[in-house]
Amino acid sequence: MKPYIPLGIYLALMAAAFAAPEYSKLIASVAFFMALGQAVNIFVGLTRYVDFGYVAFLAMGAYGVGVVLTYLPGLGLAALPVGIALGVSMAAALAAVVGAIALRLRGAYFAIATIGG
Amino acid sequence: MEVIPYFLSGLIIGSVYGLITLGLSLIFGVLRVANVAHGSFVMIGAYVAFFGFTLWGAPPPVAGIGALALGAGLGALVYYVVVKLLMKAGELNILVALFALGLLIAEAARMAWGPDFRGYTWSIGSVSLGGLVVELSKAFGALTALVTAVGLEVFLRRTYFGRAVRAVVQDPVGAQVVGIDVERVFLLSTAMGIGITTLGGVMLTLFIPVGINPYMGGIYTLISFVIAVMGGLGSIMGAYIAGLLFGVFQSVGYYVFSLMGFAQPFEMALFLAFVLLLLILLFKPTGLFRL
Repeated sequence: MKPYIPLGIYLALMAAAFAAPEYSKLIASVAFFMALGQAVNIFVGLTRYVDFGYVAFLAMGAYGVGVVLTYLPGLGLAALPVGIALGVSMAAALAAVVGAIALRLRGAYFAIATIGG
Repeated sequence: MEVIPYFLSGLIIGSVYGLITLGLSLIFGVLRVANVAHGSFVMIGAYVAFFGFTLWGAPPPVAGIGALALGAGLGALVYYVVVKLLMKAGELNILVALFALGLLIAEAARMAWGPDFRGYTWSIGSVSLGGLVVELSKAFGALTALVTAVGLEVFLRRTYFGRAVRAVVQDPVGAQVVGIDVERVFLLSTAMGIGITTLGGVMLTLFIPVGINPYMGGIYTLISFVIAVMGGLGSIMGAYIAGLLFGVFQSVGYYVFSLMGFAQPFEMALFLAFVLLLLILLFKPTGLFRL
């Protein structure tokens, strides 16, 4: 039952965004913070590693979309999935590099290693 | 040798970096807690210096004593409100709670004092030293840092309470067995550590003429962690000497990178410092030197 709760909230948000476009910006930021909270929960909550550098990965995603929108202007709406794919793969690559180093450390030492992110 | 003035000014700012790191290293050594709210206490110290000087005309030495007392009180509060309550819940919960506390302090400071960059100038003349004009106010900051570091080290080695602190650092359970009140050591170490951090914030304002603002703490949290790891987490003199090294690294690095034509030599030096942090944590987690 549990996985249907976020799905339900998501669908409700989408419906609200279509029903009341004037609030779409607010709804987008609600969805944004939900995703951000889930991401932190997967890492800090489930793995018990306290990571202070996660906003670096957020920035990678934003940067990926920014790069696509800036340098590939002819894509139109397709820019969104391409940008998301680029941002996610850049963030994953960065996470692989950082993780390869920082995950060798435990507890407070891991937190200290990621605080510079 | 054009690099000598950079080396000297690196030593002077590095001394204050060392002072800022002492508290972090002490708290980590005793409680095994990484104080990620560290920078916010530096920020509080900086505001004490600023308001002391502009509202009451109190010079930084007076503000330093006030900040030390205020910081010690805040430290005791942090121990009772955050650390002691969460000790059983595990270190990760303390980390997250301290992170939240740091944000809370910064946002409260912004609500109370506004987001502007502020600053003041305490001019007490300057001397020429090896081709570098050293303002006496900065020399005072560096000297205060040195005296505090040596004083703390002597306190930890020579007094009964200091020995109790070192016993807890070595083995908390063993210390409890021989009758040391471990909780009191925790409380007083947190109070001392945060007191010294706010004192460091006061001395820091002598180096950043217009850099006092509610969010200034973040970068000093980072710098302090790099220095504390370099010096060996928990080592007092190690932290101070690593602070000197970091100051020289930053200052000479700035000089070298601007010679090499980097657009942002300061950021480049800082970036390399964090690479250094990762490498030391991986290969030499006890720090660069044993003291």
